[in-house]
Amino acid sequence: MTFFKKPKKLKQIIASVQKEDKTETYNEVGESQIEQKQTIEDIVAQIKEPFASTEDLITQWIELPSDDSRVALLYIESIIDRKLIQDQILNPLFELSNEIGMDSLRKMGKLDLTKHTDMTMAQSLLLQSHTLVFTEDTACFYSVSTPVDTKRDITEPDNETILRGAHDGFIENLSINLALIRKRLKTPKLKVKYYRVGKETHTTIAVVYVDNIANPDYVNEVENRIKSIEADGIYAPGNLEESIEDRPFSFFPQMVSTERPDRVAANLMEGRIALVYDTSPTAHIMPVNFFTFYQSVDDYNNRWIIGSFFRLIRLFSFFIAIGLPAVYIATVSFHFEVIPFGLILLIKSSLEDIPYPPLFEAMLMELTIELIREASIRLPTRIGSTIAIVGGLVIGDAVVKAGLVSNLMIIIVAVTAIAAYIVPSNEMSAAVRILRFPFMIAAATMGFVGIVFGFMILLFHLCRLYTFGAPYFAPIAPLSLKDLKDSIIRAPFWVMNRRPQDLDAQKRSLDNQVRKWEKKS
Amino acid sequence: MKKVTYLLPILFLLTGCWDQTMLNQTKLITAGGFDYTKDDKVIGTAAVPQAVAVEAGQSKVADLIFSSTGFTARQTRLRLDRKVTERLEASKNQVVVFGEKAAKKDIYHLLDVFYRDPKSALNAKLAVSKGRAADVISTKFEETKTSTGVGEYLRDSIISAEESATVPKENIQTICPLMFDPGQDFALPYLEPMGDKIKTVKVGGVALFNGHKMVGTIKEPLSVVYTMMTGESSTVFMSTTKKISNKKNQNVLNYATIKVQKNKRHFSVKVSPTGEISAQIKLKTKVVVTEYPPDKLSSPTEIEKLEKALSKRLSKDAQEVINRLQKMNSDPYGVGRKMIAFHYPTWKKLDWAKEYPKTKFTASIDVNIVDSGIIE
Repeated sequence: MTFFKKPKKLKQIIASVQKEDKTETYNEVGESQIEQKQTIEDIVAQIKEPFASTEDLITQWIELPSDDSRVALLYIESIIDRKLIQDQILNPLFELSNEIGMDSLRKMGKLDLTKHTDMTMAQSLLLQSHTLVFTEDTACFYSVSTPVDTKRDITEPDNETILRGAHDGFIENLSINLALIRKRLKTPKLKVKYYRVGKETHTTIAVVYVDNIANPDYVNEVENRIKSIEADGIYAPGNLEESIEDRPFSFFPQMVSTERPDRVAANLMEGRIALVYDTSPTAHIMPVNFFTFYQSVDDYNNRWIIGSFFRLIRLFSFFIAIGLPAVYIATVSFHFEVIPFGLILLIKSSLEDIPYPPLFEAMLMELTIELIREASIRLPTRIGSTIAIVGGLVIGDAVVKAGLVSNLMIIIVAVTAIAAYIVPSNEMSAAVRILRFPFMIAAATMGFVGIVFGFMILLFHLCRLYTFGAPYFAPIAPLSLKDLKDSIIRAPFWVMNRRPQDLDAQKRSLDNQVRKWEKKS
Repeated sequence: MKKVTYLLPILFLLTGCWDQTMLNQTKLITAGGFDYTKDDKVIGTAAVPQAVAVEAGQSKVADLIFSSTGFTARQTRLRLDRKVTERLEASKNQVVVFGEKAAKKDIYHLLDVFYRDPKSALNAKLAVSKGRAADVISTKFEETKTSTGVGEYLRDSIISAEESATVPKENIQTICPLMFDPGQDFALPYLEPMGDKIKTVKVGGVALFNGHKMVGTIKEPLSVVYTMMTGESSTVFMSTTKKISNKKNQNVLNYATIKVQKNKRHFSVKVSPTGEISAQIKLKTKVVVTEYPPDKLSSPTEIEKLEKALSKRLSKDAQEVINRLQKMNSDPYGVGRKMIAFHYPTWKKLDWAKEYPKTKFTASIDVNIVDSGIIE
């Protein structure tokens, strides 16, 4: 399979499927030419050989009534649509082939066939739901795309629901996914480049960006990284994410994964690059910064003051989710003099009979919450509610009554859990949930000093993190005051007239000539 | 990297000290009291609330009173610690009470321990009690039966007295510089336990100090005038009732109650060329009449009359306060401080402690009624 080592040809291959004249150019590069004087049976057998014991590879022999010549149809039954074969090949063939040859039929456009002369293509075409047509003329063969329609409906992604705005989401079909993006960005500058990765899986990935906005350096970086992948299989977007992200040991996600086309479109217009996958509804957006994960489509559909308020709440929740259990542990085991007098007896009395240190108590409850969460993801909704009752009521209440965990701890853990799920991005939420454990340990060993150390290390890490060459902690470090207007808050639309600095877009200015109308007093 | 992997656990495990103090393994002191025994030993009394968890979320606080004796304040504390389980912590202390006799000896000797402990509660209120401090702290006051413990009760009583300007606002931190200032003294609330059946504590006025020693008291309501003259411009309810005439046959008609809206103090200390020292406090006070049984305050003449009567009466009280302070040789307004600041050569030659009582010190209060309540 030579073309995997020379990925540039890939584009041509894909293009050739769509545009017929390119097939000819490819022909010159192709390595194994079909030897003359082979019979049609030889060719078919040769193609079938790698698929030896696959029973869903079907060969269909057709005798043309006109000149007694034979035509062989090859397809993989499970991934083609028989109706399409009937409509696109068999019907026109029987109607017209007694008068004129296949080639002329094709040229007349009666048959939607593509002519190939390179036999090495045959295998990959078969795997891409094409039906191959072999004729007595063994120097070439024809192909037609006959994919079976297994698309599900376009629905709103469950894990990224919003209140206002578009409710469509990506599905497991690349062309539909791209269509959803193109529908939103009707510009010729929207570029799509296909890559096929995985020696065996042949997963198709589309790199999508807006040509005159996205920085070519970042585009090249993304493309180079994808090209460099040599793996047997890329099964899930997660595989690819791990193959191309900058710091695989970091807790923080380095690309936004989303199932929302509107989110992808908005980010493309900012100058980011998106990866869209076949067979997966998840798209990845890169390069991103920390605050991208805290943006939601809802922010832009709400009035800007409200949107800003929610944005601030979310950022605040980051600190709660990471720090609250740690602060609690540090306070009750090191610095309880900071607790106001009115509260201290209350806290003390709820803690008095807890038989183990606060760290253990907090770990116990945090892990319980994670258990409940993990269990409720896997279970079907009907059993899920049972888990909610068992987890929420029984554990929450009984654990306190049994004196295993203090009342206050339950409150802390509950608030923390809610705060962690406020993040619109699932990966960031997971990162935050993991991060609180080191903070809890730091707080239990050194009190507030430990928490300060923890936040310092976190800050170092965030400042040093780069994704595809763009700074991760961007509007904060390096500081760009102007960019804070769409990261900390959500400034009104008419104020946003520059793209974020960290993305180094080719076109920095945004044409936002709105609110130019005259006000009638 | 390899070094770090070795160093990190060493850093955490081999450093000897760990300053963890668990909240549920300490006993909090909420009120402390100091007295002296006849043979000059210190008696320390502490109120330690025991939180009894009755049911989840509901707890009752029961105060336990411990006391012990020792040669110093710290020793009594250490001995107290031995009487209770777990560790005693004074970081949430609310109030420190001195018995009157202990206060008259020296309070710094007892307070020293608070200034040396970085965790001690410097915002704890200080008070002097009539009789023994141990008695005040160990009394089962009526209000502590239903609400929280004795520490909070005493603190709230003092705060409420501060709000009504019966006593000036002081705590452990604020009196520290004054104790060592040769030119200024301070005053603390003076607690009087009252009642036989229903036991309460009354903040009866202020206890005046000279240096580290208590030298006397000024009782309420005169203590309000004392607080007004400290320069405190207003408190939540700086209020006083004064008798302004003797003529009315019904006694209640002889009185008026005012609430101070704003005080403006003019305080000057002058040294004449002959070396005579004179100090003067002039107070301009804007007041609201909150009670005036004879009424008819709608007429300007009546208001003017009342203003004059009040000014006269308050000035008389102010002078009375000054006279008493001079008699006690307590200088809470800081005449000496002004001397040090503006007339240092003169002050240096003087024995201030002897000179102060002889100083010509006058005070006057000028009342201006700005409001007479909601009745027109």
